[in-house]
Amino acid sequence: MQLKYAAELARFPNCPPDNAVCCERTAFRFVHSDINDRRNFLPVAKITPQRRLRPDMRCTAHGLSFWATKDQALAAHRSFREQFPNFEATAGSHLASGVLRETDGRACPVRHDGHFTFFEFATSAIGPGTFAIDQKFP
Amino acid sequence: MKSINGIELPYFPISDLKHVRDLAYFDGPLLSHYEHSNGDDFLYYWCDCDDHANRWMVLRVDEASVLRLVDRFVPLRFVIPEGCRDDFVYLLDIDNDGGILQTRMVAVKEIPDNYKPKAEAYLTVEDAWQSEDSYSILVEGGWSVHDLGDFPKTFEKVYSVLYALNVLHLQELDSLPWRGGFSSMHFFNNASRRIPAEHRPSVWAVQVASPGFMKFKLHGPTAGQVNQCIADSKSNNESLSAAYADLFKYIRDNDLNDIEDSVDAKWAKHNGVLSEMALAVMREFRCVNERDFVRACPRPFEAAKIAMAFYRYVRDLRDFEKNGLVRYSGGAMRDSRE
Repeated sequence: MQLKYAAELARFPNCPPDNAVCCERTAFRFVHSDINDRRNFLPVAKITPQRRLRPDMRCTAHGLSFWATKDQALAAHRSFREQFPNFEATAGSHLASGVLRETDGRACPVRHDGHFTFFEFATSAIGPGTFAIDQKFP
Repeated sequence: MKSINGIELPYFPISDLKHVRDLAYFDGPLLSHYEHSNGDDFLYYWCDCDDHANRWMVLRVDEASVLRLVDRFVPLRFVIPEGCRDDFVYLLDIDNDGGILQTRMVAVKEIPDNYKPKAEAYLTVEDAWQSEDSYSILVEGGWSVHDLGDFPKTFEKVYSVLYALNVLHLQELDSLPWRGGFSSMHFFNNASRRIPAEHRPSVWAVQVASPGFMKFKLHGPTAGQVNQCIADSKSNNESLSAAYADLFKYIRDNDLNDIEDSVDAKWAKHNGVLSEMALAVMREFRCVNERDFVRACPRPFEAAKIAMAFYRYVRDLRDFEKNGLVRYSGGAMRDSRE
């Protein structure tokens, strides 16, 4: 299936990486308080203002960041808030969850901290219709 | 964004900064290390944003402080902003195109609390990105002149073997017969000579203090593998020591050092055992590929000697840390903490 941002992804070598595969799984994502906020389901490469992206991250910047479990998402957000107290301003203050379908795109392997990058297909349904806010981060 | 007390500057007065690595990253960098052409080190710490710009705190720090952050020896606040070498920091508002919209010079004591890490926060190093062409270690405690000469030489030996196996993919590590006291020295000298000049480790900067640092110019990924080997030697210490001792004993008990002819018929009954015992040592190091090692060491006796020497040098590097002289920084070392 055609990937979203296919023309841009084609500019980067091995993008998405070969180990990104279709799967069905529950996933967690940092979002802003209004689930309809346009920033919530945009990859970092499409959000302004960007923090400067190093060249080797421009491929993954076209994917969406997710967490494999709620606990991992909570732990990561807490850790970032401790390191960067205004972290919510850039990443969001709420946690949303939903199900990623095989027809939505390709998921990279989950890192040991639970983070994974998801490259959407052009027909992906990921958005306010498929994800709902679970809670505000404490 | 919050309005901050400070002096507004017409432009950011620091130029010529080269990106070294990102130290924290989530959907873009949050903390990055830069180096000035005069050798000064700077951190870019993300502290705020609005619809138009991200605000970064830029502060001049010691390289040793950066290494201590990466190693999680100190909390972030110990360096940001308390380790700032000046009484002020810069706050830059940078737009989506990298343009600086505003530059303010702000006294360290005027930095608002929510622009500083929480007191208990340590750097999360999962995303710390290692430099491609340099590698630094923390220098601790008292170094003798002998230590200063010895450490880089030992480091280079381990690095040379890993570079030969994992970068050059040499078909044969050494074609010389391994016998007598100089064999090891010749082997490692040869291994070092095969490395192209731009990747041969050279000491770039040394600051002997506690803490200080030693910085090498080299091939960064291979240096990360040296780190990994040291970490493996710590976590697999028992099995590694046993494998080394078994191999040492086998060679001694069978007087294999005394067989001078490399095609002597006596080797036939030892080759299989020597190969297996050499692999038992090298298998403990995750970044050594078993098949590559076997291919590069066609003669089992040489394979055994190279494995033993490699282990001893890794152990020596580990002992530098054990004796309180160095701390190996970030990178592959974090695997040992997982």
